[in-house]
Amino acid sequence: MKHYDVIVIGMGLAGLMAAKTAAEGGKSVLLIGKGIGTAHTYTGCIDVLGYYPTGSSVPVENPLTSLSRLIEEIPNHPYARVGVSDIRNALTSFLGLFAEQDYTYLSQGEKNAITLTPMGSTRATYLFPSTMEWGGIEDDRDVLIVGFDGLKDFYGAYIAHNINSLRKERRLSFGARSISLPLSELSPRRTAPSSVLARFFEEEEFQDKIAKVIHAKRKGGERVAFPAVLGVDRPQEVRRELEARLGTTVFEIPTLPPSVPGFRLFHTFKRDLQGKGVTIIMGFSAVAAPVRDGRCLQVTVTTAPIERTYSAEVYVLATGSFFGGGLEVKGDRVVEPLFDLPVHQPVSRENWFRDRFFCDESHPIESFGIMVDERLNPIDEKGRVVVSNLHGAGSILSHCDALREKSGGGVALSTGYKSVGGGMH
Amino acid sequence: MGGQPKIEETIDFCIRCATCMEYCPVLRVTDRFPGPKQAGPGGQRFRGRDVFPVDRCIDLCIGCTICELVCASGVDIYHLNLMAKAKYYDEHGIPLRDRILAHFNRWMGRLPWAVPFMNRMSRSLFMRWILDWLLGLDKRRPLPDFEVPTFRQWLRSRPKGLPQTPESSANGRVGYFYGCFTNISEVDVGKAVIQVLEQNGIQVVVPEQDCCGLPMLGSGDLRSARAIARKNLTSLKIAIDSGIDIVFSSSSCGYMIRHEYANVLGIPGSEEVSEKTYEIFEYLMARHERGSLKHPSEMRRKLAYFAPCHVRAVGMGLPALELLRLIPGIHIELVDEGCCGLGGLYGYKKEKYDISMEIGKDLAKHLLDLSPDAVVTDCEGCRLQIRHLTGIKVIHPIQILRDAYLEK
Amino acid sequence: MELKTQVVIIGGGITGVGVARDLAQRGIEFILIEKGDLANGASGRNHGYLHSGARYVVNDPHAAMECIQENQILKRIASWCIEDTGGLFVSLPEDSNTFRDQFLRSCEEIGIPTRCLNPSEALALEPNLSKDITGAIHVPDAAIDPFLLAFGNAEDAGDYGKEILVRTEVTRLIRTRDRIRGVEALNGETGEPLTVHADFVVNASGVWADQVARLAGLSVPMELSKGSMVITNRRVSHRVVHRCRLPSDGDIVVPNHTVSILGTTSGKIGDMDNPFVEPWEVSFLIDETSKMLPCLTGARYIRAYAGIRPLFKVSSGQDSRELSRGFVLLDHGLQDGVENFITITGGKLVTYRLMAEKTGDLICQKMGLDIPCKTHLTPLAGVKGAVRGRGEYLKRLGQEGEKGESEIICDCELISRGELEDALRGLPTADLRETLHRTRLAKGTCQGAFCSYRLLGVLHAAGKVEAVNSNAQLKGFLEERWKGIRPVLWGDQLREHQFIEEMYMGVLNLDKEK
Repeated sequence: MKHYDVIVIGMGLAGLMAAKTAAEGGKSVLLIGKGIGTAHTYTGCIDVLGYYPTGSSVPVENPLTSLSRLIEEIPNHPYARVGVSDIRNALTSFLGLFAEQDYTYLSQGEKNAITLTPMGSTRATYLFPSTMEWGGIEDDRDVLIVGFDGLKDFYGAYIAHNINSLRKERRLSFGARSISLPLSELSPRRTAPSSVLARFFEEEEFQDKIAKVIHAKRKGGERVAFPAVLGVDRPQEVRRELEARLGTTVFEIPTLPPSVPGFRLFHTFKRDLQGKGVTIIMGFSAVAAPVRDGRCLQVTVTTAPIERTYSAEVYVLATGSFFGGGLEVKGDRVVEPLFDLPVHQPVSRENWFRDRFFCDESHPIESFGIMVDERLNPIDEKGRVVVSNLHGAGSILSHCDALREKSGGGVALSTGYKSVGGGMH
Repeated sequence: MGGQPKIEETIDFCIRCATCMEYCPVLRVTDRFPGPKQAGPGGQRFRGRDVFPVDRCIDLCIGCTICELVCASGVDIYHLNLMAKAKYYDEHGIPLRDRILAHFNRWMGRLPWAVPFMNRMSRSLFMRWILDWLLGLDKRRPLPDFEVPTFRQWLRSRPKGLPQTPESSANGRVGYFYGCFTNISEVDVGKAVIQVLEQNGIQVVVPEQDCCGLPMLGSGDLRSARAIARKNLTSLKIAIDSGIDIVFSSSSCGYMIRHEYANVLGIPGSEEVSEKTYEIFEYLMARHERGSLKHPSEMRRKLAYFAPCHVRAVGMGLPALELLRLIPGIHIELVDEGCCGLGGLYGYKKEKYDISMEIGKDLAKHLLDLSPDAVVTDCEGCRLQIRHLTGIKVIHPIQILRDAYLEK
Repeated sequence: MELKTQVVIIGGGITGVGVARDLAQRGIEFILIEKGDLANGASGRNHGYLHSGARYVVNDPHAAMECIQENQILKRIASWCIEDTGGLFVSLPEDSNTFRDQFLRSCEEIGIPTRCLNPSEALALEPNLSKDITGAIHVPDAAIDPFLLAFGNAEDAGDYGKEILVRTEVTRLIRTRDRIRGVEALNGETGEPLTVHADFVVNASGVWADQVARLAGLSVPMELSKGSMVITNRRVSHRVVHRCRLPSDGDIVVPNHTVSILGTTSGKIGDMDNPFVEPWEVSFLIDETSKMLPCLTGARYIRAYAGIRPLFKVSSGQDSRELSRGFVLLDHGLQDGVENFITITGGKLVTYRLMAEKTGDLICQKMGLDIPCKTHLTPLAGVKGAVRGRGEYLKRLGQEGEKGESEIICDCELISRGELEDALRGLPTADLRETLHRTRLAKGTCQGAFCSYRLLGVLHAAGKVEAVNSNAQLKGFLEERWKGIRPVLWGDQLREHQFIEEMYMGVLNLDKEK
């Protein structure tokens, strides 16, 4: 049985952050994911706190300031467990990943940025990729949105139409037009998954071709928006090259998943971890984790038909919520399948969901999850630590409706960061 | 859930996140393949018994297993495609070329006298043109050089001779599954394995063995694969029952034996063999952790390590990389570019050669940019493809370790 | 707006469009008025089961005979919306042989062809059947797409916007003492009032028959009952699987396109416009049907829905012209002294044509015309803009070609953008819901979560939704979808749901939009 200092279970943002933080602390780390984590399903932006109180539809202006209020009002919220200063530290540490890179993450000072969605609505976020720099809504230049026939999760006309509607309502100060470029005339194929289209963008010939078409249709003073597919490995360069060809500023609007900025984020983490000697096992599930005397002894990973076990001093459970498989429904209860940790679930089955899908209040099930103390050790209803060498991180934690708060990225990074910090000192 | 779900049942796990579509090497280079999600769980919903036949595009799946590894939902995407492919060939018949290719290395191993003739033939442009035209074996793809004496012949000629019936006291003994390619084309890999193990005081026995069956499986010929697997299992089991473990140096053969005999072929009793079968570096790493591995001496080399799909597919991390990093003086860079593009026999087929080369393009560029002294990789397929793509020297990591042992 | 026609048909369910087609073929003018979309009520909320009559053969031989006759006619005239799957009536150890024998005798008497299978023969056909079955009887049941059948009848009968008016609700029947002069209606989209003068009015409003009759001060006593159904992610059988016993709850599994539909329950109706599935109904259906098909216990379910059966309440002393226990044709002339008002209700999907024929016959008789019905002779042409789906995409992709197919819009039913755009061009209506039914979008595992956004994208790209608030449409669609998936949210469907929430709330921020 191979032994590590830290074993992290789960390859989403929280797991990646935990592995990075532990490796930076000089620990030997094993990172286990049953597949690639959920990074590809997000916009690639890091939301810290977009809307608060949870049901509010007015964006939070300064997320870090509003956090103090949230921490006071929801003392069991994962943010409350981490505390504002460690949240800041986590974000700084995250930005460190991009320190020597051209492509990096930006923020509008300490304020939330309001960005455009692939539907032409707006949303608040905190950190955004530098390729989205010029997508802000304070900029009153009109936008030319470039879509592609052959890319199915981004429709320029749809976005432009909604932007113009918002302008009519005076919620936006700029208008939009769109063009759709047929991929079949620009490349050897008719359709492409977003990461493949992103690779095309790294080719000079492709850039020339599209620049020519766009240039002919562009009006003066317009900025140009692309789906977030401006390259995989060197997006910032691609952006600059396009800007030079088009003579205006260029920015990305996120697509529906799979998201290329998520792809970039995952691979930045992965490269960093590989460089730090972290062992990564992807594609296999942790199926058992026996606990004796309040300590986890080992983790069993199945590589059918055989199983392997690994042990560590500290374990991090970052297996996500239902989507990631960290929580499951068993009969009328929600359970945590690996350790069978106590799950916070104050209401019974018939009340897990509300009658309407879109409503200001959360569906109660969204805040189900495992309960933790300040060290992120899992606890039971009475506050007693259940497994002392285990820490929870990310969306498996209870008391947080990240979807409505738009806080998923911040919660994942800060709890991932804290989960191994707390375990070591 | 209670045990492993059946392969077809895993389509229900798909939640359409499409992550597999972003990582499929074939879809990356051609949109004539619908991609793992569409061909696998998506297509399977339509492939109910006797209602909708399997579609031809399934043949474009290269079988790299990446889709399955990146899937966080547990859909057996690669296996769904594999079974669909088998069904397709059941319905349409396996082409003659694919049959020949699948069995070729096996036959060569039995006919060492034919090696000089085969080598001449594979270098003759005229013959390549004929094979291309007649069989659809792409003439641009170099055929491997065959070696005499074969590994098997070399073993027999070794002065010490190897005991064929192991004694019961098995401490410090291990069985070696070398695979067809080591036998007929990369004899030195086999020699290196034996040298490294013997340097560590481990006696090597070589159980009776045939091809692992992966080429037949990849061609959709489950029947042949099963027959051959049964044969191998019988002899491997005898070896294991005598108290020894089995190591393999070819990640593809090892993947087949350890995982697919049970998972796909479903041969009863294969799990016992899986339990005792180790990749050579996995085996050595375990010894290292117990402190019983001989330290290699310093060796100044700049290397690039490419992790083959089948190394990832056995889910053990990258022990070769970890162990080579222990050699003082070695600088070794991990190249993480997904599939090399050969896909076993895939890249030899005329209609797929271009796809194969296009897949390997990014990897080739990355490696040429690094320009290492040698590229190191555990899979013979990857070695052939990288040689063809870049012209750089490509070897098995065990050869590096052996050199490090013998450096002084 | 004022219009004039010979016959006004109220209701755009399968009965209404069937009557429309019947009249059109006899050369009688009509206008059909539907308050929602076509196939809105029970017509679109059923099993998609084309009965052979076997289900009723023991306790209602008359209805059974109608079923088998219509089954054969429909297989002839509407084969394009029918999958001739066949059906198996399976016996479990606890089912009585007496019923089975009686079943076989009755089938023979009525003319329903049967074939007896021993357990191993049945299992060879349907490997998912329980290993405990004691035998099975094969009957000519089939699966039918009720939406396509309704749209096909409507298109064959007349033009949308001219003879077929959807989203228009009848608000008043203009009645003199012994006649209905016409109807007043309101266009639900524009709010424009409409008056249609007519010689005859046919009430084909299904479960709403009584409400409509009340507009004329009359009544049609109905005995409504709700039936719930659950849909699996993929087919568990390729034939209809039916328990060989007296019709009861939870005894049918019908294959339909890529899925299987488990049914049914019968219970109180609750909200008539929004029948709601109770959680216990889902568990009950799974428990019962899994006795025949054990794999249903662990299957993935993608939606639950309920329909209301428009059953007619037969009480004594009523002067109704009861044609069968299956359906009733009420001549309000005989009954209430209102000569030109007819109600046609009850019945089964499979007998809709016969119901329309009888209605047409009555109208002709009252008009003094002698024009025979032809609907059983002329085949239905099909449906404009219908997408075959069913993996056509994969097949085309397998053909040799330089480039691949256009992008897949519907990941579950594998419908490409090219197919969708072709369909949109041919579509006689711009209605989102009809578009979904014709193209099979939103019919698969994700229930439209991915393709509804893409459909709006494609519509925008084609410049077809300029004036519409597509955010509101999308939200409306997702709310409607929510009703169907909420009862089945556990396991993989819950995992997928959370991903979908992440898309709409996380990426699109739709929860914060109006």
